[in-house]
Amino acid sequence: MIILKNISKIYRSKTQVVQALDGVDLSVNEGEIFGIIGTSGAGKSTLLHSVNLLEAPSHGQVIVADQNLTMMSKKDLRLARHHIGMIFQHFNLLASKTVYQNVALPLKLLGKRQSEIKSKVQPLLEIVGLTEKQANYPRQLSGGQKQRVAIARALACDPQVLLCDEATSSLDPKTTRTILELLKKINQQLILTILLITHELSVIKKICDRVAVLDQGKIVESGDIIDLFTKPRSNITKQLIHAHLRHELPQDVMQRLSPQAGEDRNPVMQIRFMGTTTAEPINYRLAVNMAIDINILQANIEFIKTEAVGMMVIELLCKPDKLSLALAYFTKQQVDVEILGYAKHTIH
Amino acid sequence: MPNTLFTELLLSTWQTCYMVGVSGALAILLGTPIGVLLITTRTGGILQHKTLNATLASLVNIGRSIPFIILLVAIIPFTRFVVGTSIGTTAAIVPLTVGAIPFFARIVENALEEIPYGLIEAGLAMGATPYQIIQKILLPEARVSLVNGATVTIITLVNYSAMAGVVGGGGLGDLAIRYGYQRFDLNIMLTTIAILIVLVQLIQVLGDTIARRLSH
Repeated sequence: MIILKNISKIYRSKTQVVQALDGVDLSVNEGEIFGIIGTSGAGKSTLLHSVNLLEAPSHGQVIVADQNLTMMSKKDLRLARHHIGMIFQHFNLLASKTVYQNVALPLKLLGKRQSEIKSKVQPLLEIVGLTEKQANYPRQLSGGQKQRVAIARALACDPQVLLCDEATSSLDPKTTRTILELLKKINQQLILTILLITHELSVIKKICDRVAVLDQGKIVESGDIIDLFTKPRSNITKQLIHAHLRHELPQDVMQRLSPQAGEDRNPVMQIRFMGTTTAEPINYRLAVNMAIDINILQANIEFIKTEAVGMMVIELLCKPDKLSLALAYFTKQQVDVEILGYAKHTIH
Repeated sequence: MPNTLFTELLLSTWQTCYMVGVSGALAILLGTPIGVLLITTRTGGILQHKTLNATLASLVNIGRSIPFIILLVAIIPFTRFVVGTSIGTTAAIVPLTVGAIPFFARIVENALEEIPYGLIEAGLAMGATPYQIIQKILLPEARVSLVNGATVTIITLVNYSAMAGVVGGGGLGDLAIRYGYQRFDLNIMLTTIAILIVLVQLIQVLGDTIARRLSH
């Protein structure tokens, strides 16, 4: 549904040349929710804005719904944009217009008749659950409600594609969840292809089918969301997953953790496995067969979309020389392991 | 106060209202597109056009830098060309309009500058034409500042119109000069001042009321 071919974007100013995107190839299937994640400055926003050519790429081609946007005249591009919905971090609603008028705006731009507009806007307001607020002005709405209005507005011209520009980044976690659920709902009901950018792994985890990791203008990793979580390949992905995880690591573990190994430090590692049943035997065998005691620092089941992925952070109570033995064992058992650092012994 | 003076006061009040009303309306009508162009033709604007932007900006600056009393006489040939005469109330409307257009254009520019870029971005993403963005997004979103700006412009025109006597335009300012200053008639002077104060108050209250109605 969306194909980006070798997209590059170079910003030139008098003093410097910045390459925001560097040969990005991306293909998003119809009906899919595709996430692009990266740290700030990675080029996510530029990439998303090149899909509807709000930022014209310096090189490369953009094909949306079998139309090559990069080859179009300005007029045709405007027509094509009517069918590419977009929502924003700061909602971008017109303060001078009511909820109804905001949703009606794209239809008005197309010169539709009042009756037609009404028959289109009412069901949309129902989908986003704002029928009762239609006469209110954006000022009177909460952040979540504003984003709902923006979603309804983006859907007004029956788009095949919805672009989400950090759509939940200025919302609190609870509101974020409801907006993501709404996006999932419209994705399924309307068979709408969604491309979203975010810096939050929790957003990706919740609704994305596939994901691409963007770093310094390049896609460093892409694929199935569960693979990304269980088998991250690039450093930036690992960092993102760590950052996501670190939030949840207990404070005292964080304080004991250091990147260097040492005689007085125990290896701390994260192990990841699919499903919910495999963790216990692994730990049991490690303890029995290798005579390594394990301190479980954290264990949880991450729900990535609908799939359960077990994640456990363990501290091996052993000398560094036994570490390689344990790692070999994990490899044999096809469990993903990642060393997070080395923790100072606690006084028992 | 003799009857003739009273009719003169009435006439002068009418002349001021007429000059200010017509030139105000024209300045808003003609200043708005110039203000819109000033902002949209900037680098990165939706109608980016460096030459046009630079030309308009310097024209506006020139207009703004000429003191009104000088503008009044300097453009007499132009006035004659437009209305057929350079003397009288109608003739005074031409320089008043010419003086107020750049004033209001800058006000429009400033008002539109306040609109977050995200709204323009949203309009572009919806496939709006530049004209639609101006008409459906920029101007409606700025309407409160535009009304406030129009109020300021009209009150400035009341001020300018006091000089219209130079070209025989009449009005309250002219009356105050002729009777109050040249004939030392304090009563007339104070009366015209009182009328001007009431006039400005009325304009301000009206402008504020409209602005309040429009703000949500």
